[in-house]
Amino acid sequence: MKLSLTWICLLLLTFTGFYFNSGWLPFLLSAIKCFLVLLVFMDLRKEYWPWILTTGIVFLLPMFIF
Amino acid sequence: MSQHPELNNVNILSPPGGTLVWLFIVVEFLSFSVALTFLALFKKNNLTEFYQQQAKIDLRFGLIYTIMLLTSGWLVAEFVQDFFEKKLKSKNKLLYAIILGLSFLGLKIFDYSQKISKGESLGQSIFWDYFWLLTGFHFLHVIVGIFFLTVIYIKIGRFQFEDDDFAIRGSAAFWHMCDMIWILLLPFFYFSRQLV
Repeated sequence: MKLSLTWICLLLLTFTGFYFNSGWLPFLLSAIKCFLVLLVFMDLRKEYWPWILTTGIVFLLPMFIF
Repeated sequence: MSQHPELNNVNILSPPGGTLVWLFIVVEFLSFSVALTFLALFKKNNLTEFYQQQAKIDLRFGLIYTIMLLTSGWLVAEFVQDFFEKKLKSKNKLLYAIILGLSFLGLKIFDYSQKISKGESLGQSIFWDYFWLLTGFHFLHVIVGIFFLTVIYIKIGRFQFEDDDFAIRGSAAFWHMCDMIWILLLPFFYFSRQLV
C-alpha cells in the first residue's frame, strides 16, 4: 500500500513537472521524487542518515548552480 | 518501522543491499553530479544557445521515460518486499519491471536515431555533447540494471542465493539508482524550459 501510494505520488509529481516546465519548480519536484525513492522504494530509514545526507548533497549540488 | 521487519536491527554501516552497493551508488551520483555541475556552468555562460538547443528536445519523451522507469522501480520495490515476506508468486512483478526497462531502451534507441537523423549528435555543440554523454551513460546503467534483474529472475526459485540481502536488495538498489539518475537528468534536459 505504502509503495503503491508512493508510486502514484511520484507520477503526480512527474505530471506536475511536465505541465509547469519552467524555472526552479521541476528541480524542486525532482528533489522530492529522489527522496521518496530513497526513503520508500530503497527503504533507507532515518537511522541511515549519513547515507541519506551524502546522497542528498551529492545529488542536489548541481541543481543549486543551475 | 521498516517495510522489511527483519531489518529492524539497524547497523548504520550496513544499509539495505550492503555497504559496497551504497558506496558504488554514492560514487555514481558524484560522477553525474560533477558532469551536471559543468552543464549548469555552461548554461550560465551560454543561456541563449542552451535554450535554443533544449527547445529541440521533445518534452513528451521525458514524460514517457520517467513513467516507465518509476513504474519499473515501483514493481521492483514491491517484488523485494514480497520476496522477504516469502511470497514467491510476485516473481511476475520482476518480469514486468524488466519488460518496462527493455521498453525504455527501445524507445531511447528510437529517440537517439531520430536525433542523429536531425544532426543533433555528438560533436555538433557542447549542449548535445552533454546530452549524449549523460543520457548515454545512463542508458548503459539501465542495460546493466536489466542484466542484474534478469539474473535474479532466472535464479529465483531454482537456486539459493548466498546472500539474499546483497543479491535482491543490492540489485534493486542498483535499479533504483538508475531511476534516481534519470530523475536528476530530467529537469536539466527536459523539464526546466526558458520562462516565457
